[in-house]
Amino acid sequence: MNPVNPLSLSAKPRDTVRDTPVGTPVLTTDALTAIARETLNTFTTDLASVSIAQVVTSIARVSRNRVRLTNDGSDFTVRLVASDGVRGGVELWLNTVDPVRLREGITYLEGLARTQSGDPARFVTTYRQPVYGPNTTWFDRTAAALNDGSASALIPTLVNPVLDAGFHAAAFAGLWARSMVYADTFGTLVAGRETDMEFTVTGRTPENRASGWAGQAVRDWNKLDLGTVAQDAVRLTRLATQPVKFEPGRYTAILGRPALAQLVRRITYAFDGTVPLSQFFDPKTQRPKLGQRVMDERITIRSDPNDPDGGYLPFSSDGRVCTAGIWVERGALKALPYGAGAAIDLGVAPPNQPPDSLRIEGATPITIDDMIAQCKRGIYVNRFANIELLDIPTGQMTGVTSGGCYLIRDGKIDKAIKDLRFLESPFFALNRVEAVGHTARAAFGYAPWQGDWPIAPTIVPPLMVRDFNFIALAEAI
Amino acid sequence: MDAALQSDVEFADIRVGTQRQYDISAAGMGGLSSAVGYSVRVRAQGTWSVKHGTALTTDAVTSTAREAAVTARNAAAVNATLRRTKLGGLDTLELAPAPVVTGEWHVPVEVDPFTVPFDDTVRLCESLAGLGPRFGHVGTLASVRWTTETIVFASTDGSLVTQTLPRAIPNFGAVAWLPSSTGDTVYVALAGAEPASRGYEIVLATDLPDRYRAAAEEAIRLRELPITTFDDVGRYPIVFGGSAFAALAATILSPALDGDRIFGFEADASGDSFLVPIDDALHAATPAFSPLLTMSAHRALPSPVAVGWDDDGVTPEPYTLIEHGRVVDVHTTRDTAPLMAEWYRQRNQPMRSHGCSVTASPTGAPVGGGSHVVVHPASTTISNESLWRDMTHGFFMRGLRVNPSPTLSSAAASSGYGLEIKHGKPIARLNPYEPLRISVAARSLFDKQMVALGGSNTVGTGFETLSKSMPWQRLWQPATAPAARCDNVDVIKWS
Repeated sequence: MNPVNPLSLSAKPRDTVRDTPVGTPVLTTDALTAIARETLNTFTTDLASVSIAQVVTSIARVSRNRVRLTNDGSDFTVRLVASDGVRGGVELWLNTVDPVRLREGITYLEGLARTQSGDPARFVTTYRQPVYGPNTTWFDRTAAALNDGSASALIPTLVNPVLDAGFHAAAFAGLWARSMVYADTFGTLVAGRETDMEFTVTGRTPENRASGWAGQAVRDWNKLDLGTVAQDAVRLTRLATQPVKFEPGRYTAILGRPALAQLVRRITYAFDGTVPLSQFFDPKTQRPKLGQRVMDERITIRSDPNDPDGGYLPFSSDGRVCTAGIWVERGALKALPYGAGAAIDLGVAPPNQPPDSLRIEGATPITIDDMIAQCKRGIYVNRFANIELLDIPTGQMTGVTSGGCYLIRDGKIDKAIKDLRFLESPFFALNRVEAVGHTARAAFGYAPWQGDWPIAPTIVPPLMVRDFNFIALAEAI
Repeated sequence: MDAALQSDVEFADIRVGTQRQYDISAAGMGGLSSAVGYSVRVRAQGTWSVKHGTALTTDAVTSTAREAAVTARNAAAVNATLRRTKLGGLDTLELAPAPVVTGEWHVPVEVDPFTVPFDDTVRLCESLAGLGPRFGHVGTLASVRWTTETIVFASTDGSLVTQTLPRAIPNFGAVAWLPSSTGDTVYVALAGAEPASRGYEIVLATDLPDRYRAAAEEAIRLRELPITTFDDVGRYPIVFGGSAFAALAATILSPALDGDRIFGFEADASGDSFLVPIDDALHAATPAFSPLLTMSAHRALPSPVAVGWDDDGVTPEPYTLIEHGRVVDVHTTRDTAPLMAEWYRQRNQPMRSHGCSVTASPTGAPVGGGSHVVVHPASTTISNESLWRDMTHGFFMRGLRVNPSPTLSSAAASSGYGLEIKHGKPIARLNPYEPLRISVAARSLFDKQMVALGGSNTVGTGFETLSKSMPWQRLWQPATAPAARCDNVDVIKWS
């Protein structure tokens, strides 16, 4: 094998291919498993693994008060890894499950595996056969909606109330399903499926000087409540009219669920025992502060693949086990997950991959109205945008308020204020808690700083925090 | 396209493409990837329906085109149920005209990186890395990503074009440190080793060792300066080096003039622009920005965003966005150009797209924003040093990370890569771990605060990755700019 010309895989049209046509549902786990088995059997190297994910999406976007774009389709991501058992693993990414292209890819990859130095980290050391929990993230009704054009059909429910209220409307409706399988020469074989949806709507005042944003993210079609989303957007846009400049500084802040979700999603690196960089670790010993108070004692943070408000697959894309865990319990660090390799190296059992979804709960939750009533002077933040993590150890980040920012005075929302830039760490903010609200999954909307869409379920309460650090006017709407 | 026409649609186009990529460094091979795919885009009553897939068969693609036609009509029917509003909107926009194009366009490449043995590149990176120790306490960054795309575009207007787009993304530089402080490093990138639409020849350049030597010597010179962690808030003059000013142009000025943002197509996503409504900026009695500022845009070689035709099938043209501080145009596609029609009519310019349509992959939905922006330097030779020569106390920022607000009206930015200047002389270098942080208002920074631009000898190029659309696509925004001096910039404390 001459390791010269990489990736010259044929792209000639053929009469038959195995890829699903557009508009058909995501492949079943049985179908995907059969493909993975067949692909793995094609390898002749000592070590090999196959990861396949198929994502089907249906999108509708509203701008200038009308549906401007729908975008539907199916995408495959295939990761093939091979090693001759001496050199490290080499990998090839493809976006097709067409058997001819997979065979071509494997032939090419095996040539590389026998001649090139790959990366040892691409192969997990042998570990006991994992035991996976149930897969509860798939909802048939959501999957069915993907195939009948429901994304744009839902737009009137989302947008008409905003137009009726005399505002400009922009909106997004996204439906998503994923089927995933992992197989390797150690005998690991696991597959699962999940569905998800996100809907957001932004109302803008006629003069385009203020906006109100609302959204819902949910896996189960039966839990959709777009009427409430639209009404929230209308209410927040009405409140946002005629925003005034407000001096930046440290104020009590009431963070809506979308605002808090943007902050905590950006520190998910902390929920990994193998990354001793966060506030959960003693900087001198680099050991986790297990048993020590790291947050307000009302705060509990957990993850569960079977969370009814938004779990995740019980395995990672490379076949490692994901199980439930309580990370922070009543303010004290209780545990951190250690993935398969680290769990063996460090003697931590059982292995658990860092979680996809996060749930934050508070003892004695109260309503947002009660929080506002308790607030003498403060700022209500509906959402944050343009988050940038500045410092990993402290979790310090910046960003701007977006989609509704209001001054609270004497227990009432007094007026809308212009958007503010903040500098804050969620680690510190979660130590300055005044009150905690009721927990539910938050929508994110446009959030490239958080990863790929859809963002993993982030189930959080509204939070009242003292001394939140607003550092500058953002002038953004 | 025949299938789409039989489905009775106004207009349809298709992109079919392959995309190959690999990363390689002195440490060995990185990832390899190969992708194929297509997206069919159909228009009905002003609404686009895009459907994409990876099955490259005639049956699959024609079936997709027919389905896209149905979806577009369904979406148009949904629009009919949306409330009429006195605010306007619900408009059915025309597409800007575009000549029918046919042919092929291939970026000239001397050596195709996909024919070079991997080991050759590993050895090349190793040989560069081997130069570092000769200088003493100097290390090397040496890696390169190669991509190549072949894209076929066709439309129901009769266009049919094929283009091959190779891109090299090198990351070559020297890192110097003092033996007494090994964690305190100074990085200097190799001059001329920027992303470009070029082939393997860029790493075969015979002057590569010389350029490495220059970078290493610069890093050694800089490491001798004491390091400063500056936290005295206040207003200071700052000289932004070419790359730093390019970062500001790429992340603030260019997106602020993106037609998608200007005309509300990104209202559910990346945001709008502080230049909305654009008519106010176009017709303003006084220029929006400093008369020093002229910015144009293009998609010509060797820029990594160079194409023969954009993702609308339009031949890109060079255009001026800001002329001596006055906003004169925006980035346009066939979707957004008609919204500038009145302005073009007043200026006796044809109403047509500038060719800014772009997608991140062959299966993506086209959006606007694919141009390389260029801030014009001063006509005379003005060096970085001459820009700070009369400074009592200020800073030189060589690189910059910018975090703008959604309207781009303001931004926070930081740099750990630059110098503290006192009485016209560098006295310390900025701390990469405790960067100097600034807060800027776009209108002010590019107007009253901007007092001088450097000459062509200070020009640098920056390559930012900007996101837009829902779900977001990550797109390159290259910018080339001279150094610029801005006074009274807010230095803020972030702790």
